[in-house]
Amino acid sequence: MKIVVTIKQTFTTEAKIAVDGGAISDKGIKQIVNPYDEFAVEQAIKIKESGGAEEVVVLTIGPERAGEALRQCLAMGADAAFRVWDDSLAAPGAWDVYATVLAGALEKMKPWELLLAGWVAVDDNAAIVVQRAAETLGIPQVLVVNKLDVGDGKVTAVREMDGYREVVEAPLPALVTADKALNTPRYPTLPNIMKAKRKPLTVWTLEDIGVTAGSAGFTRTGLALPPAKTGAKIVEGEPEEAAVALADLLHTEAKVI
Amino acid sequence: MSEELVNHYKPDERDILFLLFEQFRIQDYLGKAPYDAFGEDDARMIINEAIKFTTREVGTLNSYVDREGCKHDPQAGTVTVPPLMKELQRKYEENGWHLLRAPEEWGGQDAPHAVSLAVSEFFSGACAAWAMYTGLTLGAARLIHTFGTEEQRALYCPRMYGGEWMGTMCLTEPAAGSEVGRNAATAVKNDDGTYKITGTKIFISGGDHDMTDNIIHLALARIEGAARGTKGLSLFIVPKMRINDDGSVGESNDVICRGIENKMGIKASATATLNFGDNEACTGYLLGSEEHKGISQMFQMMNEARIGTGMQALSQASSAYLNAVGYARERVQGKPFADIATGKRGDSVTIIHHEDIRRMLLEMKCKVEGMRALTLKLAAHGDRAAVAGEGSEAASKELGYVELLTPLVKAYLSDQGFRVSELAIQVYGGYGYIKDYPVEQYCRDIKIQSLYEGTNYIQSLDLVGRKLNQGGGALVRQLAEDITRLVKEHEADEVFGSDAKALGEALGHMTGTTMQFMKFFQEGQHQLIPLAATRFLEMMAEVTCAYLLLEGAVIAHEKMQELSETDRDYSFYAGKIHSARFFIRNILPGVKMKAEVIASRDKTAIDIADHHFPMVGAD
Ligand SMILES: Cc1cc2nc3c(=O)[nH]c(=O)nc-3n(C[C@H](O)[C@H](O)[C@H](O)COP(=O)(O)OP(=O)(O)OC[C@H]3O[C@@H](n4cnc5c(N)ncnc54)[C@H](O)[C@@H]3O)c2cc1C
Repeated sequence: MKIVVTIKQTFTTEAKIAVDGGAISDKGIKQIVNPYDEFAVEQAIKIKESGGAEEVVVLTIGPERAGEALRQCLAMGADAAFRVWDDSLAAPGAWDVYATVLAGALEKMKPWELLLAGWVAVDDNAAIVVQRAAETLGIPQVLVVNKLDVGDGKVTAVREMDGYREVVEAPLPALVTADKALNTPRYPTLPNIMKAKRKPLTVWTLEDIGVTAGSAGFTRTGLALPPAKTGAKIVEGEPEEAAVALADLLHTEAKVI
Repeated sequence: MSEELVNHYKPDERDILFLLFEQFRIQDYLGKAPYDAFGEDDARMIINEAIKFTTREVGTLNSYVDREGCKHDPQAGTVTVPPLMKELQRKYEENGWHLLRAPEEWGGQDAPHAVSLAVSEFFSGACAAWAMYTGLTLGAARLIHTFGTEEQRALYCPRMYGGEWMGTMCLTEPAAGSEVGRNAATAVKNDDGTYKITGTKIFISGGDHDMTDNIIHLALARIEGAARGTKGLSLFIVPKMRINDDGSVGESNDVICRGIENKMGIKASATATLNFGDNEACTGYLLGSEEHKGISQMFQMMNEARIGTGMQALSQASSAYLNAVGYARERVQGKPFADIATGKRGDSVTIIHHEDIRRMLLEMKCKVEGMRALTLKLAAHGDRAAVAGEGSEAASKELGYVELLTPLVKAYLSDQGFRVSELAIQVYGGYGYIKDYPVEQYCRDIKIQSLYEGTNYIQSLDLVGRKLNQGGGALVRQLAEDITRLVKEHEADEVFGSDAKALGEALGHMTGTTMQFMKFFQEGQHQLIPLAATRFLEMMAEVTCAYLLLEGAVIAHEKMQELSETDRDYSFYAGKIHSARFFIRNILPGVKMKAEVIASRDKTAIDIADHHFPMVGAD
């Protein structure tokens, strides 16, 4: 069995965001593998280690620097990596275009049986690209999964909701997206970091995968940082009175209750 | 409070990447033998992953190991370390970090020194007491790797580099501290060529613990009938446990831990008193095959350990400084002085806005960055020597730099690291004195660095007595030439002109002082030399730091031109320029003052008689 994991390189959630020319500036910002994608990579490697798969490959859409993210996955234990890029893809937020490109690459990478990804990317919170690609490919999708078993041509997944849990089965090939309770991603070990560069990393153009990206069905018309936080208010006085005053403020000023 | 495991370690990744790839440009030699396996991308990824590991797995234990400390069982003569630290050691090895600096021959990665030293800043900064065990093991293993017989290498190296056994260096005895030549431990040759070792070693870091089944002590002892002083000392491999023919661990080798010290800091590093041969059953193996070579062999480990000591101080100081910056951004206290002075009734502000806090933060920043530059420069010179090839002229020039900078790194970083950590407490105010915050521990953990591996005075003697004269003064000349080149390039410069000139002048005071030493010697005023040595080491370190900070600022200034003010890197580069300016304008002027004091030949400290001090004794 072959497992494909799609990943995205994002900036760290601690990074201070700066907006430059209508886009988020990536100068001097630290880039990482989207944390939810790390759970997906870990799961794929675990499946392989327990004999459930022969090969784990990672795929991303991203510019050259996204190669660092792929390399981290290779150092964690993936066998090969693929990166698709075209400068036309740099336009922000074109999820529908990305989904088309991803579907094209996944088509070219066939045959594979399991597609894994993080359930959401922490930079844009869209949770849409790989899901749409799966739609295009016509495979079932099991989303936001906390526990996963693979065998007998199917996946069995546990999804945790507030107050109940659900067990879902789907035949392979299928997409499963990972939530954080799925596992604890390993660190790439030092020897594996050094070995990672000898693993194959293939770069594809849109032509290579036979896709015309087209243009997004929508355009981003604004991007702004949230207004600076205004000063906190401290409610003084005896505990009972203060509590009443605080509830009042939450209702009248903050309008949250 | 704060019993849970929280990470307070803050690595300065950006500054390290700047020094490695923008200032010292190690990528120019990466990829060349013996570092052909290492590219810039490898180095960056290693740094990135080391930061992840240390901030998630190591820094979280720093205050815990401080609280727990080590425990000695007097009945069994054994020491236990905090349980979670044992667990950490296991994770560290699982992730292969112990292999970074190990030679390829023993399964290691043999990383360039600049990379491994940069990475060691993270490990040591995150938990200094723990990092010492692996640091010492590496040093002990390297001694065997370099000087051991083939059998010794095959027996010990794979196990020590592989993490199965740890190692120590045993010099100190009750009567032999700085004066190593007073070593009283003895070695008597047995018929089978091994030696019977007897004696007591004190203050031995990692001297006993329960992290590994065996501990390999590298101990200095005097073979019966050997000369007095250091030249009569030989170095022995003394395992804590005997080793069976198949390499497995056997019976006790009669090395008993009689106690561990109750210390100011680095509490999880067991500082052991070791009795060798109380039952006349302690066997030692001469390292290599030549007797009486102990001190010169040990110096290999000492030199490495001195660099490690400086790095350890820097690592703590840097995190203390960054924590202080973080605190100063949050703590609201006091109104701006300008508002008070002009009678305006402004709001209270975060303390980072106060002039005096900014003075302290910037003093910490420029010192930490200067210290780091000094250390990584040393490492890069060492790497360049390795690339140039042993014995080549280029290599000996590079190694000259390593030799000159080693005492500076050891002594200046440990002295100033302590002061930086003390300033960090000052920035926090009363909260800095409280254990809920990390800075008081940094201050306690750092202090040891100026004491072990030869006190800082011993370092200044090494500089003044040995390094200054080496090659007829070639080492200092090289440094002075490099500094003068930078000064010449920029003294007419609009941005850095006045700072470059100030550096040139300070250099003049420094080289002038080296002349003073010659005069003191010629005039027979010998006592003035040790009196001035510590001060001189500081002068040279300050001039070298100022030079490296200015060199960095020039690069930063160039890079800034391509960036807009909102870019993160713009702020970083602007910060580098401020570091250089503050250091040159606020700290470097002290060089002139020190030069004048030394030249004045003031002998008050010599003239004062013992009995002019109050007649108190040690309790
Ligand atoms: C926590 C800890 C860990 C240690 N780990 C190890 C270890 O792993 N292995 C090991 O072998 N040792 C270790 N040591 C010992 C350490 O190296 C010694 O403490 C150090 O070398 C100084 O020796 P001393 O303490 O006897 O001080 P002393 O030598 O008594 O020095 C006292 C003072 O006198 C000064 N002084 C001494 N001689 C002169 C001189 N000739 N001229 C001018 N001034 C002089 C010193 O600079 C110092 O200020 C450790 C010590 C500590 C505290």
